[in-house]
Amino acid sequence: MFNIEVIKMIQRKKMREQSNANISDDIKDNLKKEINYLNLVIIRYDIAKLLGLENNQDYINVNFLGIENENVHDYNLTPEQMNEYNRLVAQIPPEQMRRYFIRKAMADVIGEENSSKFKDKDYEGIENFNPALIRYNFTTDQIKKITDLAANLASIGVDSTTRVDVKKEAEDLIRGLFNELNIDDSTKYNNIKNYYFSLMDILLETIDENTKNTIFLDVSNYDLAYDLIMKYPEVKVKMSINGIKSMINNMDLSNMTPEKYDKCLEMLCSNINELYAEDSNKVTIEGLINGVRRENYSLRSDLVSHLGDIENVKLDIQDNEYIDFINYIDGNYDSFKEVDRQKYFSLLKRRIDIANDGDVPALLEFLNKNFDKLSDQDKSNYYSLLKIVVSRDINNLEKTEDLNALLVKLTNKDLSKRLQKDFSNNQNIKFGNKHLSSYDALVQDTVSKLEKKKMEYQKKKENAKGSFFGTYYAVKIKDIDREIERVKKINPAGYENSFVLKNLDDAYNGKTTQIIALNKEIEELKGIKEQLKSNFQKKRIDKKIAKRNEKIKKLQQSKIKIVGKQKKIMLPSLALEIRKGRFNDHAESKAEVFTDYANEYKILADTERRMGGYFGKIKALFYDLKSNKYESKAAFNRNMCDLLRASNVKINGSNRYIVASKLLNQARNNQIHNVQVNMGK
Amino acid sequence: MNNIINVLNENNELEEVEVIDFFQLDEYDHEYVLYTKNEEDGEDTVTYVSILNEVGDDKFQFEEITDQEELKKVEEKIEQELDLLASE
Repeated sequence: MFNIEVIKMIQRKKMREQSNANISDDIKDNLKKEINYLNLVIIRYDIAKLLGLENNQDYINVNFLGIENENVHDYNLTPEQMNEYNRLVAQIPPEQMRRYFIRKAMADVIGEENSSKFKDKDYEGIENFNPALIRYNFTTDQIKKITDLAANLASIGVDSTTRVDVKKEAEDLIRGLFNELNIDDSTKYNNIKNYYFSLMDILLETIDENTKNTIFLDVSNYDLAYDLIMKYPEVKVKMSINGIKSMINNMDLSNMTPEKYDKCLEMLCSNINELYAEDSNKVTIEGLINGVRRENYSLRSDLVSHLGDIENVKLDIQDNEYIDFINYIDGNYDSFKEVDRQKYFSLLKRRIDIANDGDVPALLEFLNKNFDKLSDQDKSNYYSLLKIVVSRDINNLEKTEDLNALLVKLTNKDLSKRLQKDFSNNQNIKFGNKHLSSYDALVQDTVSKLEKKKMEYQKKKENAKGSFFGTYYAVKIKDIDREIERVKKINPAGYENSFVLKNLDDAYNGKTTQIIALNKEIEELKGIKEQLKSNFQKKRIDKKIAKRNEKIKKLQQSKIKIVGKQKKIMLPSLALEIRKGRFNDHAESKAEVFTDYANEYKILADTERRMGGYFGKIKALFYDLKSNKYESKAAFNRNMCDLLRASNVKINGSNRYIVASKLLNQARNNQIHNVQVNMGK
Repeated sequence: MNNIINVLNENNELEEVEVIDFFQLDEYDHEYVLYTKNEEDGEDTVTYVSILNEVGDDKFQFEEITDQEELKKVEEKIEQELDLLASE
């Protein structure tokens, strides 16, 4: 509250100062402004006094602003008082009057022209579209009216010098709104955002596109950033370093909708990449990224896959957090959505790739080494994770080979047993011990056969001592020894590249290994039987042997196949083909068949020849080959060529291959199949 | 080079080809011929494989293997044998 008398005293003092010739022009101008203001206050005070309102707080508090326009008739003034009133009002500068009318029009729009607030100083500047407007809960309709009114200030008495630049004011107001929204307090933000955005909606209509793109820069509140890009997708929203920091610190898929998360992520990454392009920001950005909460695996996973080439960042799972990470996935896996699972596994995969030169799952290696040391609960947790990884990779053709290479190396029995149990039905999976057992069984079997043969030769050698045959058998024995050494030296670990072991695998998957194993059991049972004295026990062993023989019979029968085109062959041939089919699993067995059934092949060859014709001759030559008539495959090929030379051959179509010339020369010399034939000899 | 035979090519021109091998597969009642025209390509040589088929009157044809399953088996056989040679 002020004392009007004091004001008057000051006014007189200032007037005296004004008369001092030494005062500068600037001071004079300022004094003049102040005096004008004081004059206005005095005039208003006098009007208030005339109306009997000089002690009314409503007026005093606002320096009687607008009192000159009160409805004077409400006060029952006498004619003299009315004259005095008009004289006082006439002294008020016209500019003041115009402003009053504008404010009144604005207040009218707001619906507060009759409110005591209308006289409030807050209304000052209302005509200039002051950002203070926002504190009134305007409806969008009211805001529209104010905007229109402000745009037409000239029509209500504001001259061109005082007219507001609406676009500029709107832009400032949006900036004001934006700054008030761009706060760290998310509760406050959420409380006011709807209203602020409703204002922005209207204001944005009044400014042009280029200006729009300069407004929402330096966003530091990630909620605001998200709302802005969702609401105004055409407007450029640029985050400040602080904004990026805030977003990295606060973005968390666990408390955001996936849509919001994705949108924020997109914005975050594009802003990071943009800022990182400037050298001066590099270190800061790297630091910010490294500041991501370590447990926010989801964000780490996303950043690592969305960001460009940003150096010196530690988003990947580090050595010291790997186990925690695995535990986290393991503990929460069931609650993960599919999208989460992909993220965590992408992070795990990266970790695995980084840790093991790209192709050896660290998890499997870790578990292979440490599985026995883990508690039962940990075993269960880790194993469930491993199952997920194996399930994922085993059906992915690109990864199956790598995974199998790992599984082959598994040495932990418990782990291997669990995996075999769970994946026994998966055709793609192969376990090391499976190969080893297959390998062992077949190698042992081959060696024992060779040793049996060796024993026979040794006996024959003894009997033929000193003769040509004695030397012959000695050479044979040496050959067998060499072969035994060779078979024993085959390294199972290198099975992938070994043709022989590949065949052993085929044999395992087929029936040969089972037959070998059953035969072994039979031999063992026979050994046991010899040691038994009781007939009852011997009969029991006989039963067991019979059971195994029955199994072998079934296994052999199940291998029989009749291939459609073999119908053309005469019955004896078919019978032979069927017998041959039982043993087509690997080269060794096949070679034995050729030897064992040489006579039958001879019969078949004769049959073909009797049928006449060139093609019969060709067939006969193949049977001759199988009956070991030829010393080498090369000799066979020469005969075939001789046969073809005597006929007309036309090329009607071929399938083209590129073969290394060196290999081809070798093939010319060795002739394909010679290994097979030689083995049978 | 004893395995060179004359054949009529697709344009009915007489051509010499060198037979590398004849072979069969258990699964198919076909005879196959692996041959080359000795077309060198760097360290490689172009080779061909066909079904050897009789068309009557002492005439044979080298025919394209059109059954993809059969072709696959033939390829496996050739590769298997070539692998074996390579490992020797």
